[in-house]
Amino acid sequence: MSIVNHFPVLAVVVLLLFAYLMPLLMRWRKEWCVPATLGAIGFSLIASLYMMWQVMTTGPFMYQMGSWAPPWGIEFSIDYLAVFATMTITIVGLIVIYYGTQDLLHELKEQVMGWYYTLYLLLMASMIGMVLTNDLFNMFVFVEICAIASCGIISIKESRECIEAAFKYLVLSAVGSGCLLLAIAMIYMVTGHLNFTYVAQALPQVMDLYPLNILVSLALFLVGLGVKAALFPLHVWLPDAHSSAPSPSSAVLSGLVIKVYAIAMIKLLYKVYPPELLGMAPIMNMILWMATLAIIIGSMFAIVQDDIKKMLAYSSIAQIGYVFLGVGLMSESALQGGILHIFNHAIMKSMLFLSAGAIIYATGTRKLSDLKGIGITLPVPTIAFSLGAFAMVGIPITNGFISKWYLALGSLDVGRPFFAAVILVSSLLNGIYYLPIVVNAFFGEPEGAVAEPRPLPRQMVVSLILLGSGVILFGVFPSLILGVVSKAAQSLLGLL
Amino acid sequence: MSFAAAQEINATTETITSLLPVVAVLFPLAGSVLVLLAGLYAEKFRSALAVLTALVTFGLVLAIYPLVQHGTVIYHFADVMEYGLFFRADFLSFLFAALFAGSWLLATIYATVYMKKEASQTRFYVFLLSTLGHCLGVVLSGDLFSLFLFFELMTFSSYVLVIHRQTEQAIRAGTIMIYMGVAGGLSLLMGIFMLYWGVGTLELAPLLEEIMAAGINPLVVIPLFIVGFGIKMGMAPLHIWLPRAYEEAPSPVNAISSAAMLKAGAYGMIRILTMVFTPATPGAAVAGVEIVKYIGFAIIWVGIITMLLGATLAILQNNAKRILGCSSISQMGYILMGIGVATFLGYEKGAMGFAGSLYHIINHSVFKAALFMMVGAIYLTTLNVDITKVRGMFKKVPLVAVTFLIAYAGIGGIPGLNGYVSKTILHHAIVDAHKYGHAQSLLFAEKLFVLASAMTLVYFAKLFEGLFLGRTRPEDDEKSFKVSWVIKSLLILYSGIILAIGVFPEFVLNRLVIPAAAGFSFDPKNVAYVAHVNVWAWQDLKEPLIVFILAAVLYLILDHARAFTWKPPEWLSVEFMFYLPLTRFFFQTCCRFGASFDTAINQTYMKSGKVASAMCTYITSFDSSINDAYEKSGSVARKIVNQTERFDSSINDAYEKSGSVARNFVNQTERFDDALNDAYEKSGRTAKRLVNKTAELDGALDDAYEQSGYRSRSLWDRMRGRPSDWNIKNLNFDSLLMALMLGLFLFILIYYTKFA
Repeated sequence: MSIVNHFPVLAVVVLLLFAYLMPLLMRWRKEWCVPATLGAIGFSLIASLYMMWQVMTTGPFMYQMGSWAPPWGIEFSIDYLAVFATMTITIVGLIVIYYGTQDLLHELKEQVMGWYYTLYLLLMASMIGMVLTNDLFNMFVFVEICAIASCGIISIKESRECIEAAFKYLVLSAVGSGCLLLAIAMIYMVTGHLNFTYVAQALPQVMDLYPLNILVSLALFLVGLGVKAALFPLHVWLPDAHSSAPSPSSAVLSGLVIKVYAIAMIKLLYKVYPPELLGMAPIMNMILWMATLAIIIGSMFAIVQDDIKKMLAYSSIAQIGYVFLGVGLMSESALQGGILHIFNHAIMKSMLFLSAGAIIYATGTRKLSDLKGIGITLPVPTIAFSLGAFAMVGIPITNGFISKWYLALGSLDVGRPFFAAVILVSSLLNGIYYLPIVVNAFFGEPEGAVAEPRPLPRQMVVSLILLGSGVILFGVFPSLILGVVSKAAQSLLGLL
Repeated sequence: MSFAAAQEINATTETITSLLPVVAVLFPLAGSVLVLLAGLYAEKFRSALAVLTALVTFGLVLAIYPLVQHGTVIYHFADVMEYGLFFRADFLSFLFAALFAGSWLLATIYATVYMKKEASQTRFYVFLLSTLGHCLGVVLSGDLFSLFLFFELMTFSSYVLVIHRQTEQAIRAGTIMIYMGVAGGLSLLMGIFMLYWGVGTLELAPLLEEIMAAGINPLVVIPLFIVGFGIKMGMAPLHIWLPRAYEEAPSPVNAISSAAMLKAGAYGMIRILTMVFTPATPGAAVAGVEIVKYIGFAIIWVGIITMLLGATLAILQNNAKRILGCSSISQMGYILMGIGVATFLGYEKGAMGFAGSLYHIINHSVFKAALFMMVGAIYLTTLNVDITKVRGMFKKVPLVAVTFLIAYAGIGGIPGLNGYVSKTILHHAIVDAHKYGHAQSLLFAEKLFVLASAMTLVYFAKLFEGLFLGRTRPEDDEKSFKVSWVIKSLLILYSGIILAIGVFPEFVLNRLVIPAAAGFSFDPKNVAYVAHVNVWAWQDLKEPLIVFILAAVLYLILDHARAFTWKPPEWLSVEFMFYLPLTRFFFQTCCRFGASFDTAINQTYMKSGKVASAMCTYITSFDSSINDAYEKSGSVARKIVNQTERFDSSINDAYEKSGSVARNFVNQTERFDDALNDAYEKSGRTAKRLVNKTAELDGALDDAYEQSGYRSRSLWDRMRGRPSDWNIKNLNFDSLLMALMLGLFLFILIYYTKFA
């Protein structure tokens, strides 16, 4: 029994352990905080890469906590989707917090820095746990940790907006958690199981006996996870929360946290509920239409924003719509596109938020109309921002194009070209709000604070360059990531 | 060229794998990086390096020539971008690539003089060269996917060139251009998606059978492609970006964009209409052929409209660059018409239209680039090319005036110059379309074609008269009009080419245009017939004469009616009639949607506030009634106590002690009661105050909301005024929303689920 066999649980537990160590370190060994945080997430990254290698070579496997067999013990399911998601979370999380080590210094008070790392590590742990777990109640526990930690990293910046936004998020996501718990109870009531595999086995048998229970649980899951994933029209908390939080928090919230709930939704819909049910209930159509509304209306709201981070937050609402569009179309390419967009959008959006954060750090302004000529004075963040913008519009050679390619082909595969048109129209809408910023940034005359920005620390620049090269790399060579994505889509659809 | 030779060309199917097309595309991109480095570290080598890059690129493109004579050159990168990049050069690609690289070389040389005084030259050269790479990529790519990739890149890199001056008008022109470009790209992408989904390949090859077998309706897919390429081409009514962009861009950019970027659109159009949507067995009567034929008919008319619209716009303009820009629209109409004829007549007789449009593409690249360089040469000194102000340049720059006259004769179709040949072939084509296509309306189209040619002469006469004749402005008199020898020799070179093509039309026709028909499904007999077409016959030579007379009459009438200086009202433009309302409608919808959303929330909020305050009032009244009850119960208790006391004292003295204790107790209760009373009163008052406060807050919020709602109604205020707060601040509402959604979901799920 070597340590690598326990990587699934260690990826979560090490993060939790370090989370509780942080306040202590802050008290006695302040300078150890940053390396410890980076080390912990780095360890999870290594663990997830190792798991990925394992899954890609020998196939998915189960990890049993304390060797307790499933109906009693908690199980982690290390399948294609899970390793893909853990890898996304750890890579992006590592880059974001590396950036944050500098950015947070100017956004937060010094005495809360340790707590920030605690919350951040808790958040990472809960996200990884959520995607790995194979147990409904265990998932609920991670959902709760995730919600609390998210609120924490918003409200840690003690400004009025942050507290207000965090409070709103807290209340809404508590209601959402309530829905989840109720849904889990409904399922437990009829199946007597909490383990995904066992529930999936039991559901077809009880489907005819207790149809209402199952349908109600479906609706509750949709609302509960919908509100946490900010699926339109349940997105109301997101713009405030993501725009007021410190930039690294915004990046990780927009880039990762809302996606994790989407992954939970994917797991529930494709792994737990029987496919016959999905054929009978219009759940996929509901998701599709909500996603369509999210894509169009999220972009429409983003067009009229003048606050850079608020605009990005509204754009996230539109982008989560893409993911759900891929989920709802029920075709292999579309699901691939949706899952791929989780990764691609995690890179693009965290890059956009981080570059916005760098611009705010250096100039102190967050109004889009003030950012004329910033491309000349602050080239790195602005080029990163432009790359992100192009990826959002879906220009070829950026990774955004690849996800749109798969989503559109998927929608044609199931004979619904309308959704392909939606994707293209939304690309144009994205262009309407992203391109003027890029144009202004490069072809305007810098004024005021924009003309003489503070120099950016190395950490910020390095993170932006890393993410930016990721956008291009995965745009030109998408096969690097598509291997695991297509396996994940196939295994979810039962084609493997 | 004999019939047998033409057939032989059609039969070349050899494929050669070579990196040459890839190198030709990548070299200018690499060169742009070098220029960037030179701009940063060694500024004096910058322009020389740019010219050198363009020169080597031209050489590389020419090196493809021996290969395409034998067959098709291909190269495939399988692993890039999942679909793979596919490079392919046949003779048509080579022709376009050579045209682009050649025009670029001359324009880059021209730019070294023209751009000397401009700001941010490094950026200009970098993007000039990268645009060359992207343009070459468009024509050297072997499938629609790679073509689309380079097409998009071209849109973005050319944007930077257009807005080089960064003036407000330039940015505005660029904005229109880039949005239309992106929209066109998306339309193209939709077409590509549909094609790929149905056929499973995006190769540039005859696919009509497979397309029909996949159940794709060409009436849906082809228009998507036409819009995508038509925007780049300046096809009416998608031309609106073009005049503005041309007015604002520097002259070298004008030269290359009319010589190359417009042609990239035409290239795409040719590939889609006369290649992809043709049957794989030449001349086969497949189901879709009829549909494609009708689309060809429509394109002939779109071409005619574009022609006339461009010419009319050109007549009405006063800025020399804008006249030339509108003239480009008009000339692209000719090319479009030729493509339309080729599509309409198809396998049997289409070669004439194909050859005509290809020939005109070559010619237009030559004379339009030359004309823009001439106007640019004048601009360098006058810094203005408004022909109502800058006049009398004949005396100042005689060489430019002479070359201008040559180019004028070329574009006007005077026999002996290059435009004559292509226009004659196009005229043959439209006559053929009428004759063989059995469409009576095309007779009328032919007349309009002649009219458009006459109008070309008219607006160029206006331009020449305005720019070169008349009296110079006093401030121009003092300036020295020394044209650089570089520009002079470029203009002479261009005039030489115009004359040479005009005098030896067969060379271009047989060596460049006809071989390009290889790989396209045209009847070899028809191709051979086109190769032997005689443009010096009387019925062709008389056409320019008719055009000339018509132009003279038209000029006199227009001059008499002062139509040249007539400013058409703004509402007459396509932009005003269609695009502006569209964008306005879009933004209004955006904002109105937000505003009504806002108002709805506002109302919900108000309602919930009212309900809350009503509830508070109710609670207060409930409170006071409880108060009353307490008071009453207190007095009742007192009475009882009194009675008890009396009873107590009268009945038993022994219990006096306990009685006094009881009294004490009672007193205490009473006091407690009073205190409670007070507290209740107070709390009631507080509650009342709270209610008032809530109401006040409600009112204030209400005001704020109303105000924001009002603001959101005024459009631009909303857009640029202050950050929007379309966000729901009220938790009640959010929870309500969640409950609502949950209810909705439950309803849908339970109502619509059909259990087996």
